Parts: sequence; C-alpha cells; structure tokens
Amino acid sequence: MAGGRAEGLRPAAATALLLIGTLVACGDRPSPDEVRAALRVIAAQPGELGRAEAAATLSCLRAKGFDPPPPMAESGAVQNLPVPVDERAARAAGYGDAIPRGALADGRKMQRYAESTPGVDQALGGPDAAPVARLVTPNGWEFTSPRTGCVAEGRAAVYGSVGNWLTAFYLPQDLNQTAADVYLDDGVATASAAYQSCMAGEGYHMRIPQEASETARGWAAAGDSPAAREIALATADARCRSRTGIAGIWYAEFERRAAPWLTRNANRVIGAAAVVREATATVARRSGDR
Amino acid sequence: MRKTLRALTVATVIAVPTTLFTAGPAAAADTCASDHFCAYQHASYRGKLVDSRAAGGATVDVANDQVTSAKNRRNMRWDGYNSRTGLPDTVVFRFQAQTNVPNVGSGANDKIDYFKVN
Repeated sequence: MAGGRAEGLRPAAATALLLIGTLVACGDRPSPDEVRAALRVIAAQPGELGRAEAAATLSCLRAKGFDPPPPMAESGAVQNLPVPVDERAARAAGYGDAIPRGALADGRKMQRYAESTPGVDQALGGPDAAPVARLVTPNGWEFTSPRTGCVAEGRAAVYGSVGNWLTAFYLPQDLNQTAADVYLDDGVATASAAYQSCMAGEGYHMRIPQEASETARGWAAAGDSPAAREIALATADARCRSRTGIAGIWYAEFERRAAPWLTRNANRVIGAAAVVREATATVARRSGDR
Repeated sequence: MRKTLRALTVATVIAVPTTLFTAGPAAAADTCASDHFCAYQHASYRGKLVDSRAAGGATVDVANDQVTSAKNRRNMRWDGYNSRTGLPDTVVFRFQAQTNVPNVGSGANDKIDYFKVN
C-alpha cells in the first residue's frame, strides 16, 4: 500500500506505522548534493540511449521478418532547459548529440512503410489489449506503455524494463513547467535581454537559447549530419551563452525552483538517475563488445 | 508563433470531433486506432478532441487548454505546446511513440494549445 493511507487502523497503530515509515525514510534520505547530481543525470540524458533503443527496436522487427527504416526514439530530458553546447564543439558538430538527427525523414519513411506493410503496427506496439507498464509522477501525470511489441523490446533492452523506461523518460518531465517558469525570474530576464542583444549582433532573432536549439532541431530532423547553418547558429548560441552566462543562470534558478519537488521526491530522482546510469553502462558495454 | 499563423499551417487532421459537452466522465472511453494519435478533453480517453495521422513536421491545433488525456499510437513523437503571449512557447510534454497518458495531472491539465509532430 505504498503511498496509501492507513485506513482502518487504530489511531495508535497508524501513528506507530507513520513513525516507523518516517524513520525509515529519514534513514534512506540522500544528501542534497546527491539529489542535485541525480537531477543533472536525468535532466539531459545521453542521446546514445535513444539511438540504442531505436536499434534494438529495429533488430526486433527484423527478427519478425520486417525490413523497415530506422524507427525513431529519443532520450529523456527536462524540457524547456537550455541544451548543453560549447563553442569549440559547436564549430565542429553544431549541437551534436544534444538534438536528434534524421527523426523527421525516418519518421516519414516509417509512416510510408507502415502504410504499405500489413502487421508492422502490431509488431511495433503489440496487440490492442496488450498489458501495459504504468507510471504516475509526483505531479499526477499518469503514463502507460505496452509491455509487448518491438517498441517495448527496444526500451527493455536498453533500460532493463518498460517501467524503467517510463521512469527515465517521463519523471524528468514533471519539471517541464518549472523549467519554463524560470523565464519569469528577474535575473533570468536580464540575462535573456543580454543574450537576445548578443544574438542580434550575430544576425539572429532569438530571445533565449532554447529558441536557437529548437530551430536547429527542426533543421536536424530532416537530415543526419549538422549542416553549415546549424554550425553557424550553434556557434553563435554558444558564444552568446558564454558572454551572458545565461545557461548557468537559467539552470541555477531552475534548481532553486525545483528544490521543493526534489526534496519531496528525492528517492524517486535517485532511482531514475540509477536507471539512466545503468542504461548508459549497458549501451557502453554493448559498444565495447562489438 | 501566434495561433492565427498556426491555423494556416495546421496539418491534415482526419477527424476533429470537438465533443466538448457530450462526453462526460461516465461515458465509455473513445477508441483510438492503431497508428493514430488521439487527444481527449477528459481523463481516461473520454471526449475526443483530436484523431490524427498527421505527418512529421506538422503542427496540429487543438481546442485551447482542453487536453486532459491522450494516446500516441503513432511511431512518431508528439510534443504538446503551451502558447504564451509575449513569451516563448513552452513544451508541456514531449510525448514519445507508443505511450498513453490517461491523465496529464494537475501540472499540465488544460494547458496544451497545439501539438508538433516529429
């Protein structure tokens, strides 16, 4: 009855249970530094996890006799935060791993393939009444995902189970609104104005770094490699971030606003970070095996 | 992007029965076919607002601030956005392929103004 009330118990027994539960919870309570480190792990997860998931899904489909284009999959993240980028890396590879590549083209190919190939939808998503894994986030979002089908197999192959995948992908999104509200902070607004002015000097109309990376995300969705325009935009973005410090200011304010949620859900955040770390290790091990 | 501009670029939506008052919480859950994306006004997939197979790159408008549950049976990601006047639009949720949301919870309930398909 995790999370449930001790209904039907006598008051003294309920109080004793509550006390024991509190003591156990306090004994397990991670330090604030541990929780913040875990938040950083789940807030921007490695792009390789999504690619590995897509590859495992593809492998499953091929084993069932289908020969589709690569399916799309993406790693989890808190949305509305600036994606990481530095100027040196941007000059070589734009936003690199921080944004998915080819998703749009692959998605369109997959759509055409699905329309012309009976049975592939069921192979991907399982039958209509397939059993599902379920996640309810602290803010009350409820998510389900099929436990059968090739999408489920791909997720389980990387994250250990579909339930783990739900945690890694959707728990961070409980903080999407918190990350968006950071824009309302006075210090962030000041940094944003400086960033906007800097980007105007570079020839771009971008109010915040997220607008730059979202623009590049749209471009990258159509192709695999960073084009010259993405490299130019990412380089300007990185330069203006460096001059204004906006990414650090944004993240610090995000962490401050997320603190009450983090305190209430410390063990869940630590657990989600463990899933992401283990998935990253799994993918690295498999890469090493090849 | 303003909603008036988006309306010009709205993708093909196979059916958008805006059953705002006909599908109460006691009604049976609406169906959503394989390879479709569906969004609903109420929890547990009741009161269909969107039933779409829009292609990647499309923007799909939805009755403002109504979405409470959704099914993504597409093999594409659907991002739910909130429009903010004078501020950048924000991602309410990034909704991965083959997942369902019976209830978006208090933080996101009635906040989505449009979807982008990726």
